[in-house]
Amino acid sequence: MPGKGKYLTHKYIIPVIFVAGSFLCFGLFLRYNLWFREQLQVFLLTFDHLQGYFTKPAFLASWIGDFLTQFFHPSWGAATVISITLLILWLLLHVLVKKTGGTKVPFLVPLLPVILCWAALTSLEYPVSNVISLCIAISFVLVYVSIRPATGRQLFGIVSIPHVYLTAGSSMWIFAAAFLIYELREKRIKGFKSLLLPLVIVAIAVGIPLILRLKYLLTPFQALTWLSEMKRNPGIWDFLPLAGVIISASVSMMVIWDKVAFKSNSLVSGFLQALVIGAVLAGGILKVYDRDLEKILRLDREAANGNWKKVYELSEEYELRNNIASYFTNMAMAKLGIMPDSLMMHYQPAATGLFIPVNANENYLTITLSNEVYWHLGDVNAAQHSAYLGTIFSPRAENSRLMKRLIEINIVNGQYAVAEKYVRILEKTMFHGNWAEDMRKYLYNEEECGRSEWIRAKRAVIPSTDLLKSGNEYVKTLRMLVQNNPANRMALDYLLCFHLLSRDIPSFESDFEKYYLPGMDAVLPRVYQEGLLINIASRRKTPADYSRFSFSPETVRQMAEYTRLFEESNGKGSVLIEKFGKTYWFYYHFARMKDE
Amino acid sequence: MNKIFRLKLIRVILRFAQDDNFFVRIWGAGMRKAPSFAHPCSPVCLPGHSVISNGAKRNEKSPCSIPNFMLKRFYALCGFFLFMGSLILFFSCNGDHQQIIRNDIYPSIYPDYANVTIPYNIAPLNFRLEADCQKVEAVFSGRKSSFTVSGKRKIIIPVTKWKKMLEEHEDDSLLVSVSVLNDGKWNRYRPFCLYVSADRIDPFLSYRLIEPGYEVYYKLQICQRNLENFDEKVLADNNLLDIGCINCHTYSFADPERSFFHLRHKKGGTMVQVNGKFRKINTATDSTISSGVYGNWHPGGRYIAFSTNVIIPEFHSINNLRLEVYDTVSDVVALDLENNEIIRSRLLDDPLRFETFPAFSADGKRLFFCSAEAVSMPGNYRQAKYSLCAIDFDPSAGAFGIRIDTLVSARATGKTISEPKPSPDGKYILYTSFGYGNFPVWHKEANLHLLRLSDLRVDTLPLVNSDNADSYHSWSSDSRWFVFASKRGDGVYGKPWFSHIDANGRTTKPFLMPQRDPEFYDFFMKSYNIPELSSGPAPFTPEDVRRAFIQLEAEPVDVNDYKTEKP
Repeated sequence: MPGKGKYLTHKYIIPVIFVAGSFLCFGLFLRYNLWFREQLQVFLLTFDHLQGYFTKPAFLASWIGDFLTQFFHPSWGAATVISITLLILWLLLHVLVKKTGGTKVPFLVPLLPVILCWAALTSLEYPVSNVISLCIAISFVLVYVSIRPATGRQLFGIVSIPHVYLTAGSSMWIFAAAFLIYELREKRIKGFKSLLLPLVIVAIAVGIPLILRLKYLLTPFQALTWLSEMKRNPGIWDFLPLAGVIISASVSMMVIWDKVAFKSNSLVSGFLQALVIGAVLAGGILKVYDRDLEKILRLDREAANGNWKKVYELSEEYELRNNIASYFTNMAMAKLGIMPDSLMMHYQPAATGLFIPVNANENYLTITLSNEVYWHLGDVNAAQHSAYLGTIFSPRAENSRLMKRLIEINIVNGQYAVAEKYVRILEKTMFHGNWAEDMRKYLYNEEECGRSEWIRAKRAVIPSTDLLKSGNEYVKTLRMLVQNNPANRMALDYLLCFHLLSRDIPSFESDFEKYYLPGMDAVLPRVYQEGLLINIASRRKTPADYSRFSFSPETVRQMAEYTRLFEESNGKGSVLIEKFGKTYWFYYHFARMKDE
Repeated sequence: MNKIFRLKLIRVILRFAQDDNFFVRIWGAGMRKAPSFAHPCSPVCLPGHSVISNGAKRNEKSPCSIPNFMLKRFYALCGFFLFMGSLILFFSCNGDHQQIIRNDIYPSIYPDYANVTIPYNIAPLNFRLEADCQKVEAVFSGRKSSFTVSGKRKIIIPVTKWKKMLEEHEDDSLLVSVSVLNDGKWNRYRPFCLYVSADRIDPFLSYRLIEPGYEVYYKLQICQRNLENFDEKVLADNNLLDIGCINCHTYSFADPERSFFHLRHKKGGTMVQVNGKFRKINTATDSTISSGVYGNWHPGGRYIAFSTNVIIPEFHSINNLRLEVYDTVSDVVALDLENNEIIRSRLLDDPLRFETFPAFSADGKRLFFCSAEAVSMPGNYRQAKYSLCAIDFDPSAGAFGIRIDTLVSARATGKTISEPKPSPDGKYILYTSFGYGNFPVWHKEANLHLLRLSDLRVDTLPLVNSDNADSYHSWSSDSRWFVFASKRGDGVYGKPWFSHIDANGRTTKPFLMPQRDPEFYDFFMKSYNIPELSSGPAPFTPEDVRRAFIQLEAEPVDVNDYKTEKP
């Protein structure tokens, strides 16, 4: 029975391939992205927490979405959750299409929106709750089309529009569109009444969000387009999956597929549909998926685990030209003690590779990561400030990763009461509870804190003298850390490298003289040698001024050669890049600052 | 049924014949409810009842002089009935109360409501146990009624019972006896009192909710809470205001029909609300330092006194300090709402001094403000110490006086002063006193002080203050209550606390604003900022604010230079 084989192909093979494909895609290529996404929320299975979701539309979708996002924490959890969610979406669409368009509808129709969701989910800012909201809206449509009596069905449709809005936000448009098209297709109502129902549907669909926005405290635009807290003002790309579902449902309802001479099960049409699906998936992923981001988040994960060697190895392997990648590379180099020797071996976007500025216009990535460098440098107060800012700008003003950091900071600072507050909150979460319980032992227990190596290490570098500074006074911060603790080598290297990367040789020299002590290294680190040699070359200093430090003869020789070539070529970078592209001199002469 | 209890009871029955006091012990242990005739604030215990205190057995003998044998018979008779009763209880109840250990300490509850004074119209003071337990039971008893509430760890008081009891016990006391079940044993703690004041508190409290991000905001709301129940409504939401910053919402002496707040946005201004109608005023002029910052109403409603400041927030580097907010320059002005005019005084824009936090007196004839010698900032930020000063004001002429009086001198106290708030009855000024500067929110040492204006005596309010920042205070319309934001507890999140002040100026231990769920504050991640009491609900909605923000053009103001009273 050839027909049966094709039927089986469509019924089982496609979903199997689809689930396996999405599982592998999300598990292999978005592992770190999805792991990071889980940290942007603190999900508590409590009534109070649930109540918080009622303050905005799509409460059910958001709640289920956030509940499921918790499972992004364990390995392959995210891939499992997403592939199952996509499968459910496909099944719902499949049933809907079958119910409304018959069995001859091309398999592309129910699959296309799912593919769009797949592509959208590769973005950091597209939450799984958006897919759930599509599922909720389609479920309502399924119930609606199952009701046979026209009056009952229409009544259900009208009553459902506000409910779909409350539970699924702007996915209500799916239901409204399906309602409208289905009723038009049925054409049961004649004359004036045939116009009345569509008008009522449109009026309710537009009116409900506009009325409820007064309760939800949204602008009219936000009310009509509400997807989730992740993006209060979403862009056009965020609506593609929603539009896909509307098109899909409309196509299946509008076309009488039984009368169309379209062999959806033929090999050619199957191949063509598969081609379209592949093209959409590839196009969507290419548009949305950020491969560099995944690499950066891998660096972040390794850094979070303290695997600095691995971070450095990965940085060398990836060679990313991105300031956040440089941020991790520089931290790893500083942690490994090779920063001044290897600084110029890597992409350096001036000081933005050392510190990440934080403001409301930054994305979730930067605001969550910006505290890391302060924490490792020992400026726990600045790390705390940054962690609070990151929390404020997180989707629901909650961020489990930053809450963990705040616990650590407040334990180090001995501010146990507030640390306890955060511990109590995290203890109620599914996947951070054990970590929080483990932290509880340090609360109000100086003896236990004294036994902990990481607490001792952090407390040792906390500044003891007070200083007032604004949020982005990096030099002031670094000087303060070095003055308070001359043994804080990471802070010293950051300070001197900050000047060098800012091409501020006088400040570099001044702080070098002040804080870099002879004997700190057997041989002066390479980038410091190169920086100081600029002073000698420009005759601001003589070699005698630096006689206390040991320079490598090779560096001195290279400097002479660089100067010669520079003068001979009239300052042409192309002549120098091959041989001196990874020297500070080249950076000093040819790097372009953003404001230049 | 509790297995241990059954075994114990069997063991005790076997000892029955040898123990005359057995029934007494059973009776004592079986006491579940505080007797209604027990005097409030006295330990709940009947004479002759045996209790175990702190785990140690203790007998309190009856002082009666009845012959011993009669007493024994009486006990035996009572004992028989009690024994039968116990048997019935044994088979019908869960046996939770088989033994009560009495502790002479107050229960560790959150919020700490032990021995606080509350208004008779406050919402139920729900609380939770600090430590985990199997069950908790609280007996609320007064002279006229009592009721018992139990829960797993939380005591959620039924609203109707609470309201009725408070109304019955106006100007009286209630006794709260808390018992806790742990490992099959009940611990009864020392009962604490709730003093029910007959002074009604203004039933509405408005505040700004903000995450403790120091100087940065994203989502801001001004909310209003009904203190008589748990209803909260939003008054303004910056999501509707293009994410602009909403500053302090300030009523005119607790009058909800008159309030203002600043909306920091390119289309913003000072939003002045009178009887539900908004005006948007641009208080910035070329002749003043900035637009209005810290402000307070004149009781007549025509003027608002503002400071104009250049405010710099900066961060401390050491671990027990967080943020310092200081002014590099500041002056004080008054805005005449009738003429849209800024009134200045040479005495209030002295370039050699910082003047800030103005507040009109209750009669409107004086302006209180804080003033410090100008120092170079940020280098000398610890030297900026503000005194509490006053200057006359003539409301009919809209003119300031020609002399400044110093009411509390920073030089004399060694401390700085901010946020003076005169009481509506004109008797007191409540202000914040702390180490240095003018922004107390992140100063742990910030405490409220009460200045009696009749003799300039300062009360340091030891019962009110805590070891964390206590600031942002405001008075009730009858001057019998004040609210303030305190960071006590976790040191980061400000919460509203209320304290009573009687006719003689005596204040009481403050109580935290009650919540429906006593665990609310454990999970709440925002600070209550600038709590302000009001006698009625604010007559506007977030949508009204949005409309005013979008539709109104900011009214410009003129500067009328240096009007002063004639000497």
